[in-house]
Amino acid sequence: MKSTEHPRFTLSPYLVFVLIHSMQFGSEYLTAANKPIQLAGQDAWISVILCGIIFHIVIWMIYRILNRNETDLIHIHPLFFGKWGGGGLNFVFIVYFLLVASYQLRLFIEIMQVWLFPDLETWPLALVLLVLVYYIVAGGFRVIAGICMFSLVRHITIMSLFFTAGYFHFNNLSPILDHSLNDIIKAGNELTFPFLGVEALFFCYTFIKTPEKSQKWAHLANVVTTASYLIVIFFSLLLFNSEQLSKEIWPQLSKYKFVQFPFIERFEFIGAASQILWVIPILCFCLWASSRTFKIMFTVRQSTVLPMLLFLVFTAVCLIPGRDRNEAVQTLLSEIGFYMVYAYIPFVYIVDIIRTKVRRTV
Amino acid sequence: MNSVPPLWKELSESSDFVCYEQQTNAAPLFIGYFKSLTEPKILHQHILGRLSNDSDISFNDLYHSIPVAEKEISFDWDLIQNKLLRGNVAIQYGHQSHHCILVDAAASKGRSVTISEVEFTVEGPKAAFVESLDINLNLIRKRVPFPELRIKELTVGSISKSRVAICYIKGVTNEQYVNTCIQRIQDVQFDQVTDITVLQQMIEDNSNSIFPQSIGTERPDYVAWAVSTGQICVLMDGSPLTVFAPVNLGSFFITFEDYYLPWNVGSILRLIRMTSVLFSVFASPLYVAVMTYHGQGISNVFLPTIISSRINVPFPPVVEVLIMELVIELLREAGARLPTKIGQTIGIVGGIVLGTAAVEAALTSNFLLIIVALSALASFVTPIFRMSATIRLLRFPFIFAAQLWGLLGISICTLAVVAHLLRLTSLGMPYLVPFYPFRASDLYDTVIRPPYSKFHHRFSFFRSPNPVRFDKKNANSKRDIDE
Amino acid sequence: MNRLFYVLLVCCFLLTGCVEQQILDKVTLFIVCGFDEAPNDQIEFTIAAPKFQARKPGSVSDQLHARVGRTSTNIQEIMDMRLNRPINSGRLSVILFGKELAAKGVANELDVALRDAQASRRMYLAVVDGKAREMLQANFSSDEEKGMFLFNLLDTNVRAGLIPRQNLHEFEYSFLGKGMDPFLPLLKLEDGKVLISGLALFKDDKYVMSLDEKQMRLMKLLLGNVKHGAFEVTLDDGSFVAVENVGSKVNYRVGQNTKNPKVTISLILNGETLDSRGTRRPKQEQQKIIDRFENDLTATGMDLIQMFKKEGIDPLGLGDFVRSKTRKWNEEEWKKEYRTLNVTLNVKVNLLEMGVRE
Repeated sequence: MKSTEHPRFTLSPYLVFVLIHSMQFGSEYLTAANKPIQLAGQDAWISVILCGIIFHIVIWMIYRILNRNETDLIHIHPLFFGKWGGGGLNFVFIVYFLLVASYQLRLFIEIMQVWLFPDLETWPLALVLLVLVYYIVAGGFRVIAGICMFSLVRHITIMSLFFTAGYFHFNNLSPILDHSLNDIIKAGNELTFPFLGVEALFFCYTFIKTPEKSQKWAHLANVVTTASYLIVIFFSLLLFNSEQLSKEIWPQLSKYKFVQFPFIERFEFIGAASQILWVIPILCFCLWASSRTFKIMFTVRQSTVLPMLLFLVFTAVCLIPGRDRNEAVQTLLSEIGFYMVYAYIPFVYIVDIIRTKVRRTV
Repeated sequence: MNSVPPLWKELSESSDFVCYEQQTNAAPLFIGYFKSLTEPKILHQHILGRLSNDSDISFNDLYHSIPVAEKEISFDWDLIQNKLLRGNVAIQYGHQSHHCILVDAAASKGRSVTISEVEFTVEGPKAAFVESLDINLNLIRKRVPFPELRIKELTVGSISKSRVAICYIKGVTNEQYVNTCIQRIQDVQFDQVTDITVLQQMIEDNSNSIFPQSIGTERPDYVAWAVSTGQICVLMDGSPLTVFAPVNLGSFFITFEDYYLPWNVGSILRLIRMTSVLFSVFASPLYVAVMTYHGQGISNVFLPTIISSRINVPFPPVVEVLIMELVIELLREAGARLPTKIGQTIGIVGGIVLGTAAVEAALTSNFLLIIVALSALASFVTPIFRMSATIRLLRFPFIFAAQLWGLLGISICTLAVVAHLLRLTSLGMPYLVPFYPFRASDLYDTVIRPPYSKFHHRFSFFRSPNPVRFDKKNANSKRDIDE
Repeated sequence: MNRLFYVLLVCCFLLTGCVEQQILDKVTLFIVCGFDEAPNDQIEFTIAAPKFQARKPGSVSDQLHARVGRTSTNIQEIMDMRLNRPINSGRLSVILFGKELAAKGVANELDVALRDAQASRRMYLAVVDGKAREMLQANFSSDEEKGMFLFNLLDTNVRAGLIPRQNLHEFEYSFLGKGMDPFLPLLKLEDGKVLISGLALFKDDKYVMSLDEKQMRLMKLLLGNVKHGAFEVTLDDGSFVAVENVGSKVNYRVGQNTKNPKVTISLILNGETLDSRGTRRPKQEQQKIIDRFENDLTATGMDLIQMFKKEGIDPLGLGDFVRSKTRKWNEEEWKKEYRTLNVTLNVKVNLLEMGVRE
């Protein structure tokens, strides 16, 4: 069963790198350093590498599943679990993507409310961003990938952190391996959530020109994500001590407070405003993936489903009141993500192997 | 005049249509032409002169005896009418026969080739296109003496019947683009297509976008270059502009003079031009955002300068900026509508007097005056007129967004523009190529203008059937020391 | 119907979507503020708000506002009621603490600045020998705004390497961090002029003692590698020689014995004699200068360290250093050990050049 899209809509394999990287490296990088450093201190970087390796295995599993079936997860589900079971699972993914979109959007608005405009209402910003998302998603997958590509500009703001070098305390990195393996694994567990995003592969597979060749790009994306998180963790370790970190909610944005240029006294405004580059690609992909799943499941037009889903996200975002509730959503999402990565994907992988074995013997 | 053939009667309602009967021995001849369209010299010497002398000439002999190359025999009334309207003389032989000899005697009145004024260059060739299609085609042909240069002529507009020529090199330009272009021109449903800029708006991919999706130039050398890289150019009679497509965003910020300067000098000028475009779009919105919301962001050193220049200004920054932008637009518009000499005076007087007076009257801060003047200047650097208009207008949504949400507004607006650019296409080619879709091999002539040895391939995004410009291997290799 | 909906939506959007503007010239900025002790467990909060004059960026005067209250946010509210333009704290660059307040602890005041997203982390903090308000009242800078003057005073001296850098972030770093204590520059008003008179040492967030200017210079050498600064040394015959520091390196080392750690500090100073009161020093005498110099530095340094141990403060961050070299470091144990810690200081001085004249 081979179902690739019309060649006019397919993308070069290298864009998988852009897509997966921007899906993985979302706004949660702002807080990603906190918990691992609380748990594993100066050894948190080991957890990052550990987590990166695990995600390499996950990507490998995803490609094995997809390559063997030569279609995306939306079609694999009914194939493996029957019409109702597969449909249910697809529906779970729709809910998951909408939840991710709501969480990311609410987090972004929250950052804006704390860092730029304390009296900013939630709904106008959510409305504007969702209209923008509609405009991008209506342009099709090619435009979404383009926005992801444009969002790579954000690495400039990460690089600007090298200007804080005058404040580094290299003492904070030693002694190495002062924490137990248990702590390091726990810290790695906390990092699963920031690393999430590889599940996007399941949905964009059919839109890639030569999907088999794109695997190396997905791995490269994971490498770059790991490197980015390593930089984030290292900067956090070098700039703050763990007591300070426990008091910071968004240490990454506080770091921008140390950057200074001759013209620009403060960089944190630019740092905060550039967060939009982290959130828009994820929003676009989540809404695209969920509306596409909808389209295939219920054979409706994607352009009619999309506004409804956007409205759902809009109401959800307006209903999440503040910091505490958003944290609760994050906990829920990281739990879902944890089970998806460590239970669901291996499960599908095993089912896939059994299916092929059975078919071969029959 | 009742002996005039009935079909011609309609035309003779116009007073400039001349139609009379000339008796010969063989048969009566009916001669008709538009006085206002024909060249009297050709008409009298070569056509009418022949008719009076030979009295009993046959139809065919008459046809062959006229010493004009562009002539034909036709009995298709539509064609005859069209030809008459293009300055031909029609000679009908006898009452019954519908056969007409059509002889071209069109008067070519119009200006001759002059210096290019819109896209002026210091060192390059000075000739610019004029209103006559034939002269323009001649200018292109002279620069591309290549047998594969194809020119296809079409007519557009039910009233204007404008002659449109599509020009491309077969085997270099992708046929798909040619077909799309022809298709779109044929599909135009409009009566009076006055100028190619009108046609341009009708055949572009997204006519609602403020970004132009084809380049209009008045320089034959630029068109010759564009044709040789695999683009199509479209000319129209009566229009001194040649439009070519497909184009990407980057090509709007290229003046053709870049190619006449040494590559490093040209590259630096091009870089300056591109940064000035960014400056032009973002400078005044950033002023609004910083002054209204992010005052903390300015360095301590600038603080007294900025605040003391603004402290007596009664308006909020956004009103201040809008007033100044409006003043600049007014000055530009007034300068453009007036004759050159007066226009210059208006510009200088308006600029100096208004600027000083506005600062004196504390209607604006002199800091903003500098920003607005600089960004206006920077927007004029863009060589293509339509693009520079786009850039001037583009900053207004940014100013409003900055007023609403400061830097956040600017970043949302930037993303919206990027999304729009990502969706745009030019004849189906993505607008942001080679940056998206990313083509590493095509990056050579975008931000910098490399030496000509790097131009060995045509841009792959033009999907040319013959992508090689010259063989890199045959080019002279570098000499060793003391060789 | 549809059109009406959109019009309503846009109206709603514009009505609720706007945020509060802080137009730069329509707010009362302040670059410097001061905290002082006030009776009944209150604080006195002083700001020096610059008054700009139209089209004269050079002449900026200050207006002082001071109020007593319990929290600085509340005091700002009270001040707002007396001002024609609302206060905006975003440009705050220098915070001064009165000595008495500093002795009681500055953590509460700092928390406000740290929690504020608008506030800089690079703002300078300083302790005033006396009252912060009195210092701000004095007319110490004629051509510059007071806040800018104080900021530039601290900034240039930090950059020139005369005083160790300590801004809001670094103060918090050593205040919260384990095994280190913060310190701040000590400002003093003398004849109506502000000068940096030394360092104020803190135990946690409470001011304990101060160092004079000579001790501060040595402290700077012990804190990190320095490239500037001059040192004076007295010779036996009573004459003085000044040595310009052209690059010093400091190195900390912990003894291998983890039960009873021993810290060795080695300081290498490359100097250049420039000023020797006109008397020409022969080459042979160089060694003498060096010896003298080394002894001098070692003695001052050891005095300092003894003093720190006695007070139980650790501005050098020895604890943090030992932590980074030992596994399973424990703060409680370290505090016990610290008073009896064995610290040695080795100073090595090299005299490289003598200027352009023999």
